[in-house]
Amino acid sequence: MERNDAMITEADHKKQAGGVRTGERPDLPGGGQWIIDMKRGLPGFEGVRRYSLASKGGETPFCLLSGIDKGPTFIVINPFLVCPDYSPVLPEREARFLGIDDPSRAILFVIVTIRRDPLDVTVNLRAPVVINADLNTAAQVVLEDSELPLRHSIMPKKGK
Amino acid sequence: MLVLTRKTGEAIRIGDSVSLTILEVKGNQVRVGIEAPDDVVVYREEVFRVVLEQNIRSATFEDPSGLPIDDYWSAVEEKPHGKK
Repeated sequence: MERNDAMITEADHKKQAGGVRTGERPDLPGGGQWIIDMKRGLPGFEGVRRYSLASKGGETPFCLLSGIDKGPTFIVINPFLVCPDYSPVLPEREARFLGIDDPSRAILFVIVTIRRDPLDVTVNLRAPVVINADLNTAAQVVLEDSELPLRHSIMPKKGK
Repeated sequence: MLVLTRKTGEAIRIGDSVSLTILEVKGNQVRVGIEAPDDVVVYREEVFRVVLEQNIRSATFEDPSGLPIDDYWSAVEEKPHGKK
C-alpha cells in the first residue's frame, strides 16, 4: 500500500513545511477495491459507515467512494493531482481519532462536485477524506487552514 | 435555546465529556476553549454546513459510470504526471 501523498501534523508543521510529494496514484489493494470504515460517516450521511473505494477505470484518475448497501457514491480524486501546492495539516485530535501516528502515510482523497456544466468541476480542499491505510479506517476531516477553498475549480487551465 | 451567562475563565459542561471555557472576550469576538473526546466533531458551524451541503450535492445514488466526469478529463490538455 503506497500513500498517495503526504500530510503532516500541526506538531511537525514548522519543520516540515511542504511534506513529501510522491504524486502517485494510490495503489488500491484487494483487486482495486478497498473496503474502509468511515468512522463517523460523512457529514450528511452519518448513518453510512462502510464504503468501498475503487478506481473509476478508464483513463481518468478519479475513484469512486461508494457506501455499501445502497449508500451514496462520491467521485473522489487525489488532491495532489489537482492542486500540486496542497499542504494539508492534520489536526492532532483527528490524527489521534484515526490512529495516525505518521500523517505522511495517510492517504487523502477530496470529494469532487460536478454540476450541470460538465466543465464546472470543483473539489473541496478544506475537507479531505483521510484514510489510515494500516487500519482501513477513514474520516472526512475539516482542516483548520481557512485559506483552503471549499470549492477549488479543477477546470482545465488551457481551453478554447 | 438554552442561554447561560459566563465570565472569562468560566466554563460550561455538556454531557459527560464536553467542556467549553470562555477564554477571552474582545469586542464582538469570543475565544472559546473546547475539551471533547476525539470522536466528537468540533467545527465552526458555517464551515461544517458548507461541507455537509457539498457532500449532499456531490453524492449520487445512480450508476456513476454515466457521469460526465470523463468529459472533463478528456478536456484537460495538460494532464498531471505526463499521463495521456
